[in-house]
Amino acid sequence: MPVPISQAWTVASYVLGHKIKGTKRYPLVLMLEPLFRCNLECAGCGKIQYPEHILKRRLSPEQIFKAVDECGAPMVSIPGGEPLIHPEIKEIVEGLVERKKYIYLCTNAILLKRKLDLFTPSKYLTFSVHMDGLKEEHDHAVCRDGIYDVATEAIREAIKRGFRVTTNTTLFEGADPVRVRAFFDEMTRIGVEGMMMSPGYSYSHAPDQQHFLQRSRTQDLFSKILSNPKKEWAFNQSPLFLEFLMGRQDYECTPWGNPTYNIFGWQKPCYLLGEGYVSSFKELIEETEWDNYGHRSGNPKCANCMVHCGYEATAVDDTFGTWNGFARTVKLTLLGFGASKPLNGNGHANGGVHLNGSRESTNGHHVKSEAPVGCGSGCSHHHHDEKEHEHAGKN
Amino acid sequence: MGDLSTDIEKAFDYRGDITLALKDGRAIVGFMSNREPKGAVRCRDPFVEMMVAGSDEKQLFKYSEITKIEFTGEDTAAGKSWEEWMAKEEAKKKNAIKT
Repeated sequence: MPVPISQAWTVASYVLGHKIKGTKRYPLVLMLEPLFRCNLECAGCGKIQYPEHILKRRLSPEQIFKAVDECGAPMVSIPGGEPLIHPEIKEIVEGLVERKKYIYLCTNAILLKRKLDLFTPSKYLTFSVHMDGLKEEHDHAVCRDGIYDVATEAIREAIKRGFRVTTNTTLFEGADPVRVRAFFDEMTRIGVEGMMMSPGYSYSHAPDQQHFLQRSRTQDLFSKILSNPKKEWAFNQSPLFLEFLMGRQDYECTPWGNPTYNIFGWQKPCYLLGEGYVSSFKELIEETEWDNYGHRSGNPKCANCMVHCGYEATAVDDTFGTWNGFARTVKLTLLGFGASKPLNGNGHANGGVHLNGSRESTNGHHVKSEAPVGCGSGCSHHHHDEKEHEHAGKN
Repeated sequence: MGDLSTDIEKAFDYRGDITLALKDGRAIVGFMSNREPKGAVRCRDPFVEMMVAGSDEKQLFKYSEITKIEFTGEDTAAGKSWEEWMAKEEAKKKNAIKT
């Protein structure tokens, strides 16, 4: 079981509650960036390039709790920057556990072993360790030799002490499926609870797009990685999202599923595109022109994006929004990805009926909302945001 | 105002500090964290938000108060794209082979 039953139940009942209430847009995973400072400077990371006085700023625990309470999402992902640098990370985690939020603390694990004493193992707390592959690939991606060894040692220690540990991996153009599979074997041997993965964000206007996966190449890569998965691999992600990555399922983005809050405010419209900021979650939901975003919107910034922060929420909505989605999720969980079929040409592996009784369309437009049972809430430190791309254009 | 709006968009995308020259003669140096060309609940007129070193609060200035924008701080993202990093890596490899 990739996630505890209590977490799956919390997410299921939360989503169903919104379905019954008829909520059009609701959050599933709050992406909380308490600071931008990081102790790594990974190639192409668009999250940490700011003037020094911005890097010195942090969200206070009070600001965080106010945002978490307003948002209401059952899961909170804490990327950054490197959250373990935050001097009040202990208080932040304790406050979130007290609120019964399932936390994914995303870390490069450089400080993890040293800071484990700050935390108490809990079903609510997961360390989501950024691992971009085996030693060679990971150290290359984070631009520093030896980090893979540091991270794996910290993972082992955290597991030994009873913490939940997952990995999150971003895959770029040129990733070798055989090496990725070997990486999954290794993480499984180490004993992580589950693994998460996502393609890097792709923006068609970016000059460096050759390194970001286009949709068809994304599907091809993930098909090669996942078509014949090993039984012992555990993914902390919605199986329907993994099917989407393999091109066996067509979904539309639900950017409100993983709203982002940081020192600038609530980020419009999503974790990857920083097009502006508002001061409340209510404003974010009500004032963002959501129709301007997503694969089918025609927005070039969204054309090739298949990143978990936009689509895993959609997959979870499918699981709990349609009988068919639920049945497919159960089937994939029990039988693995080999049990699924390629798309029928209409964008869906098959049709389905909503839990409210209405017939779903076969083009994927019915899918509205949020994130994952197994939640790919883990950040990737390789999400290039829009500013990063524009800078890439200047340089 | 057309040029100013364009400069504001560039300033919002810039990963360094900028200097706003205001009609009252003040010069505000800081990071432009947001701009709202249509206004919002907290200010109905178009405005920008600035984070100024040494101040915890975001400062809000209406477009109509601004006379000029200068890109005075270092662009912290310059030279740090994936593409440039890959090019450097390739160069390193080639040098290693030569030596």
